[in-house]
Amino acid sequence: MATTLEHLPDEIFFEIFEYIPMKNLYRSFSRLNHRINSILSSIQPRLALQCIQPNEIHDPSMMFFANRIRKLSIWHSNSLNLIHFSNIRSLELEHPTIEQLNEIRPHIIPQLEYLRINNNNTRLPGNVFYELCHSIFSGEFSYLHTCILNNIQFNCQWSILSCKLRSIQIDVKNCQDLSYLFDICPELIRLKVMLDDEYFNFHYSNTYQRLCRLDLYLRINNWSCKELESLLIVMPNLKYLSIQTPFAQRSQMTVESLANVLRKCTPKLESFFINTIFKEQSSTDDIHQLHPLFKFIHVVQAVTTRADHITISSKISR
Amino acid sequence: MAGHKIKLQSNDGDIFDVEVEIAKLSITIKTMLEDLSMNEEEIIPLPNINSAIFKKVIQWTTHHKDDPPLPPEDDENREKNTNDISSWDQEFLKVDQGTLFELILAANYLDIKGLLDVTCTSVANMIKGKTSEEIRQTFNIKNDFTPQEEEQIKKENEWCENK
Repeated sequence: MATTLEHLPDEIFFEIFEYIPMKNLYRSFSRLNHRINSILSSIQPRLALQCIQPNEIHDPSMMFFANRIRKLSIWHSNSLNLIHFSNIRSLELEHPTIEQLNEIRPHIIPQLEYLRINNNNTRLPGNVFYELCHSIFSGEFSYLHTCILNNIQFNCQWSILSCKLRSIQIDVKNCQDLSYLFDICPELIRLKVMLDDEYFNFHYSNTYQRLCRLDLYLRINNWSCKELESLLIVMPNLKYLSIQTPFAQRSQMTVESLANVLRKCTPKLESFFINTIFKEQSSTDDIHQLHPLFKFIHVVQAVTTRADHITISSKISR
Repeated sequence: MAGHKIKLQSNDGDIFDVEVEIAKLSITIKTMLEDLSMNEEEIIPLPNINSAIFKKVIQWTTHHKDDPPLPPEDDENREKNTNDISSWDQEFLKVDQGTLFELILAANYLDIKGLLDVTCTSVANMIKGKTSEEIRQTFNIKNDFTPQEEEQIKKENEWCENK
């Protein structure tokens, strides 16, 4: 007797089904027989459900697989109800609705590990996003380790040391919010932050031991190495540091003072990148001598300002 | 070890002399040779594979013996692609359904990931775009639903039927 599809073990069905989009899978296999229905019901789809069109929101295939989908990325505004997606590990919302923000709660998505929300929609009432942030930074999500959020309104009422996040990408309008972030998220290993303040006025009385990687984007006028030192001195275990400033924005920092600050504050640094306009110009040869991580240097003169944008980078193995 | 051969026996008694280098593309055989310390003179039985299928497996592994190792699947959420079957593999897989499914079972038993991937991709391509009724006819799948169950499923699928 010839071997047929039905002779294949369940594990092979799972293997084959990985090649078939969720919607096709449901359409092709959902009404064949009990065994195949049982296989469909036990799939843990490795599916990234992306680009859901408005007419697909009520697609029965989506409802069939909803509670087994691990990763959900929605790139346009729609009213997809997150309540059905109770096993999501990774959630990205480019245009979140009020309802969706209200549904991102630990009792609805208890396994959430990764969350990215673009909070640029000015039509959203601020308190809805605030309530979600409160839930995140109060440590209510047991497994959440990575967040990418913008336009957060920090509140000093949030409990200190309660959040278990290990990686976060945010923008802050106030340097005080950054020190507050350190207080509420004691386990951060990686921080990517855009500082958008009038002055670089950072104060933090403790050391932040865990942080290994820092990406800084400084939209601040007239900062110098003194201010940078006030930030780096609290994170002595940093291994990766990246600093960027907006185009044509000049820092009050010299390359020499930067080298001194790095030597003093970041003894474990292995990878370094900076792109900015320094206060004074130095020759490439001089820059090389200043720090072991000042290895690759690239200078571009801006046409409009005639200022030299200098990129310094390197990576060493310790 | 290039050029050395081992003896592999299919379940219908035929013995095949296969280069060690090619046989080791099967993780199952590689494990037998290395972990179980089987020597190259011993005949290794392959109780789940008949001669006709094993000849096809040898043909495939011989052609692919110098392929670079498959990259690790670092993104577990990645949807697999059904378009990347080489023209040689497409020609190789122009076989009847029974042979294709036996090749899948053999690749699974012998743990030859590349062959398993390409055969599963081929089946996935046969499935794509078909309705459940077309799938039932194509693969001769038996229906064991009661009329009541079928009616219930039909109601649940009305959206799909209307597409």
